[in-house]
Amino acid sequence: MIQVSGLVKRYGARVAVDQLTFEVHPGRVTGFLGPNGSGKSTTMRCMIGLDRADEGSATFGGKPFRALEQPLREVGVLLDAGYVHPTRQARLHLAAIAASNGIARSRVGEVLDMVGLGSVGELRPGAYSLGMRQRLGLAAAMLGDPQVLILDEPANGLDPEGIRWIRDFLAYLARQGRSVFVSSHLLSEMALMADHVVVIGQGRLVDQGAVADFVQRYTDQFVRVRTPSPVQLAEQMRAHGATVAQRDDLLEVRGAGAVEIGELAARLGVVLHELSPVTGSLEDAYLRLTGGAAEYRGNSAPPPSSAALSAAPTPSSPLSPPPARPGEGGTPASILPPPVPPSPGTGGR
Amino acid sequence: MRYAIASEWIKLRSARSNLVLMTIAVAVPLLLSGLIAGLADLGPMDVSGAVLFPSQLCVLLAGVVGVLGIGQEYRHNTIRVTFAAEPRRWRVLGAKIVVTALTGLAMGLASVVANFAAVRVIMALRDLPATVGGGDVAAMVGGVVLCGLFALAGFAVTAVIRQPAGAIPVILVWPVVVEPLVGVLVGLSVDGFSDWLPFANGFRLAVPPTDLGGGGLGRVGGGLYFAAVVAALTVMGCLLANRRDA
Repeated sequence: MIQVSGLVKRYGARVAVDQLTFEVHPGRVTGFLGPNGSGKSTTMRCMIGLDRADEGSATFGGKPFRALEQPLREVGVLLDAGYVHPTRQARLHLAAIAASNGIARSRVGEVLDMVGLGSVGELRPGAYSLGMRQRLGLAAAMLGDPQVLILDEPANGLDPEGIRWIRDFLAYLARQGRSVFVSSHLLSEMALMADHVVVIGQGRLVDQGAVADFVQRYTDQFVRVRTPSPVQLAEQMRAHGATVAQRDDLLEVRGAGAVEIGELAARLGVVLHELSPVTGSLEDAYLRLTGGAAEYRGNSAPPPSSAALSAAPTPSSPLSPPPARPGEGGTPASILPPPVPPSPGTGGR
Repeated sequence: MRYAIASEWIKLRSARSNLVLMTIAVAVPLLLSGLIAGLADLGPMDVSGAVLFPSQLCVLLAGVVGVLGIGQEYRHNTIRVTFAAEPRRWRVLGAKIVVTALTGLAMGLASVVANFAAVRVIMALRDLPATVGGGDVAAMVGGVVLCGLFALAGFAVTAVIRQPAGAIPVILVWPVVVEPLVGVLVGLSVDGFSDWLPFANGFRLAVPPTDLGGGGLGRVGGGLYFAAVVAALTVMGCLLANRRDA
């Protein structure tokens, strides 16, 4: 297990990491989320002693990283796929890392095969694509067969097949009881990859917890109903204590589930054309939570198509947003104004 | 520590630039020594001169190999991978010092032995008499030691400035251009100043006995003085590398 406690890192007057405390448990993939410049990479570097923390500590199974006799056997690290010598053969790059921890040379071939680079291990990383270098970095992290993995943007540069591969691979590692701590700016991937999330903004912890809880806390959830008898159904739903918003034949019902609504409609003999629970995505939750914590952002609005796609909530699933319908834009695609989110740091833990 | 040394050894011999430099450092002086022995009007006392003058290139390139030993790690950010694999940085730095110094010594030994063999063979073929005295042997041993010290100096300078593009000019230009210039300019107003120039003292290690003269700190004294300067630089570089964020 990783325990980070009261971590502080300053660069002159700027506080990059501010009293950061969180835990990463075995058997889970824990996502590390935050806007650009929020201190994710700095935190990871401080955790393994590459940068010296001004205050606080990070321990791995109760020990600081520097106290681990052969760290690769306990903690595997991938910080940046670019950290390779471009003209040193991939196999020798790994051999040098393995030798530093007394790991047998035969392990190099095993990890190259594990990440799918077995046939190109003799090539120089300068000839690799970014995705191949990511795999090489992951191979380096796996050299010591560690129980803890720290991975900074491991899906960066991978093609769709590679992204699916790494998702399945990390899930497999977590199922083996390892602690997997992974940062990514690809929120849709993180939603599929992570069981838990640690969210930071401007170096401070914003929230942490299970992905499902996190999405539930920070997104609007309702049931969308289409019916040729919207007025009749809305009145009955309100009589049952639900909150209903109506536009034409569309109802948005809060305070009642799809089952309850369906049963009521059946009893009333009301025809339903659509009955779909709507849940926000991890992206919705993240953007709402970190909206005030983004340090670097553009001033112009994104193109409409992109905005609509990224802001749309997801019927039935928090993971795969549908295309927005005309007239249903906004965050979320509700006919009501978005709800006020809980204050950062008080999000229902 | 032995694991760290094993790792550094793999890095040294698996980087193409190091192998190219080491080959040039031995081959070019060998060619020059052969040309001198084959074409110059050499006397019996000129053997060590014909061996050591071309080997000055090997000395400078040993410094560059020292630069690259840690400089490439900073340039490609692999120093972070290295320190993440062995967070006790003193072990890594100690291993780099050992491997760098031994590499410099090996380059110097290869160059001096090859040059010496070529000069002796060619002089024998030309029926030129050759004498190798104790002073010649001392100069040639000094040439080997100088390569090791230059390699360490390259490591130390790079550990301080962390930029191989900046360290290579320092290790190539400072000893042969800047320091002599400073020696002349300051020496105009400070008597004996040039006796304390570090690299000039280092080069005394490999000066043929016929050119050594009697001034300054001498071969051994100058060599020890240069070694002390390199050691101080190395300690400073290691302290900084250990303390800074990687």
